[in-house]
Amino acid sequence: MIRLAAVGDVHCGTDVREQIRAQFASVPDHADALLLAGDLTRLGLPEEAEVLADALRDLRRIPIAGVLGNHDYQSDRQDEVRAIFGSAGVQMLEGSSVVWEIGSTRVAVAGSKGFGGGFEGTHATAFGEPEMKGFVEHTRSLADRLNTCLEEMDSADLTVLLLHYAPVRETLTGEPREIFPFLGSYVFAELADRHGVDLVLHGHAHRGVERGRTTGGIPVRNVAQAVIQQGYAVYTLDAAGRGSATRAGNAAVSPARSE
Amino acid sequence: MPCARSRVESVTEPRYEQERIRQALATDPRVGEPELSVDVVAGRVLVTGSVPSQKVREAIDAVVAEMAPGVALDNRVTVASADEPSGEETIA
Repeated sequence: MIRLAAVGDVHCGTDVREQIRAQFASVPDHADALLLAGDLTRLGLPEEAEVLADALRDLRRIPIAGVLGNHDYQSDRQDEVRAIFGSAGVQMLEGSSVVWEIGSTRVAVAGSKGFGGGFEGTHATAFGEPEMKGFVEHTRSLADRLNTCLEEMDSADLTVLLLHYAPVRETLTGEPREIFPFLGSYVFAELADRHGVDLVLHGHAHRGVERGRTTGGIPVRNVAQAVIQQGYAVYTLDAAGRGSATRAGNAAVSPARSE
Repeated sequence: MPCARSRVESVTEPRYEQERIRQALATDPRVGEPELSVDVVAGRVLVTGSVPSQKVREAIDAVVAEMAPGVALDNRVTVASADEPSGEETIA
């Protein structure tokens, strides 16, 4: 059994140094690893990243992985932001993965920011203006890269897909339907189903809900801080019980945390 | 040939006004939160959503005051809780 802490949309600014330190200080007491689902900073500024990175440096005894979100791109300094988190020991993922040995369990985390386009039946198409093609092709290229990563990834007992944008409609319940194409894309849920991952985590949808699942039945959790209304959520996964439930599309999810 | 002009109701038509404010709350670096909702109800600006700190919440007041001087603001934005988790969920 492993315990994963996860949160997205922390939107760390330079005015919350003590708040951020307090938010993450207890993670090693509750979890074996920490996953950050993007929008780590408010404006994508290196000085904001430093505040969160300083808090995470104190957690070196547990592994941490993260993806960037749209806020982290706001100032066009995403490479600097990514490097700052990397220097704090965070495995920053974009079409890439990391495998950790946690006790006797090999845990793989594959990550991508993800992007928009919408969901099956109404997804945007690469047709018309170059800007429209560019929008859809950005999503497709990230998905292609993630697919290659999942195909080539080392074998693991448990696999988690970490995104910023949503892969399913279900966790967007509460968001205006007009903006669904800007909140996520089904192509990442399709990847999760194709590769039989055990859990998908995302953020971005502040007015959404925490729990959903892919068409194939894989649990999806929206860990945007505004949704989970706590510093981070904790999910426990048992490698011994993996596989058949999620791949067959009827994963049993037993909520222990208060709604 | 001059283009035909339809009658413009008012530059302060509520739906345009609320979107103008919403755009400002997204892009003004004092706030920088595109996820906030803005409505204009009975002449009052109602802002809802969640922000990461009290400082950002207070900055909403300043941005709205600049965008809509003299208009009453109902700032119902909350600061996201960062408490320790109250439990965990087992994913079988």
